[in-house]
Amino acid sequence: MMRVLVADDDRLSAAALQRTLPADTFAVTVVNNGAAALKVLTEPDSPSLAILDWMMPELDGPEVCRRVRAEAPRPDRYLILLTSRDAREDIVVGLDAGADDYLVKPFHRGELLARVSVGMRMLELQKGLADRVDELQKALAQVKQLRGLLPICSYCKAIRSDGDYWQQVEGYIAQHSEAQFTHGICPPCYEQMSKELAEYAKTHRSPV
Amino acid sequence: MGEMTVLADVADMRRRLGNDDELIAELFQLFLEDYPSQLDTLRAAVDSRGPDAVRRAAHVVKSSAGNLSASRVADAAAALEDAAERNGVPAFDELFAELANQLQALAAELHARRSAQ
Repeated sequence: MMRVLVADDDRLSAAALQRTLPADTFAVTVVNNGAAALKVLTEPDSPSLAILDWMMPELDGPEVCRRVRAEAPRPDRYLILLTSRDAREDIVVGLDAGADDYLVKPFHRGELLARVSVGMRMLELQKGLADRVDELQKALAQVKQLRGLLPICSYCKAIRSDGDYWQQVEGYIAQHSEAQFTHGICPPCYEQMSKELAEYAKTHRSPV
Repeated sequence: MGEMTVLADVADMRRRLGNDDELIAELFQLFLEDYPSQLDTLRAAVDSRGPDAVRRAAHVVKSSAGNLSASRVADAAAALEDAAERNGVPAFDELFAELANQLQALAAELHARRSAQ
């Protein structure tokens, strides 16, 4: 259910807007002045989509847009201004004030629904982007832990993790990244170990 | 009802509102409920000679009339709104009288339409 705010001091416009937005998709809140619209839009969990009349008592539509953008900035917010047919020159002012789109009154049902669905598409895109940024930030936080300064023992190569606990390097990295380890032996170590083992076998040969 | 008295263009409303006759009836009802107070607000604003109050009051009437596709009323309201924007106080009385006449004619038409149904 998508929450929508409709703000218009003309009851006929508000009724026509409310009725045109299908009740199975939209939960519509109606207010009749700009101050009430601002109040609703700056509350926590406020509607993402708002249709605001241009000329309203107390605060006009563009002023509501400006204040909402300043006081309750949110990426998932889509504001549509309603303007009279003879005030098209004002549209630039409205868009500059922070409106995303406008609709000329008296509106045409098809046009209203098309513009609202553009708004919903934009909101979905914004949400997708925000989720992606969130995932990336989480991943980045992991990477950052590995990029920090790691206290490592010069001799045994253990790493000191939080709480003064010395941990084997592979255990530490496995815990702080997506990396996993398979254990083997490199050629120089193999040679070294073979020598040591041979030496050990010589000195610990059991007496015949 | 004769065509020459038609002030609310129902065909245009049906086109705009997706043939929603129930909504159209509701809009007529809301207009009949609201226009007396709109007229009172407008008269008080005109009497006070306050351009801003006249402009706002005329704008609401223009919006309501637009929703009813009542272009003659909307035009009369727009004329008063324009005069208020240009601070044309001397024209207020005449433009208000014209708008009041158009509003009353529209209300009469809507009352007649309702009793005919």
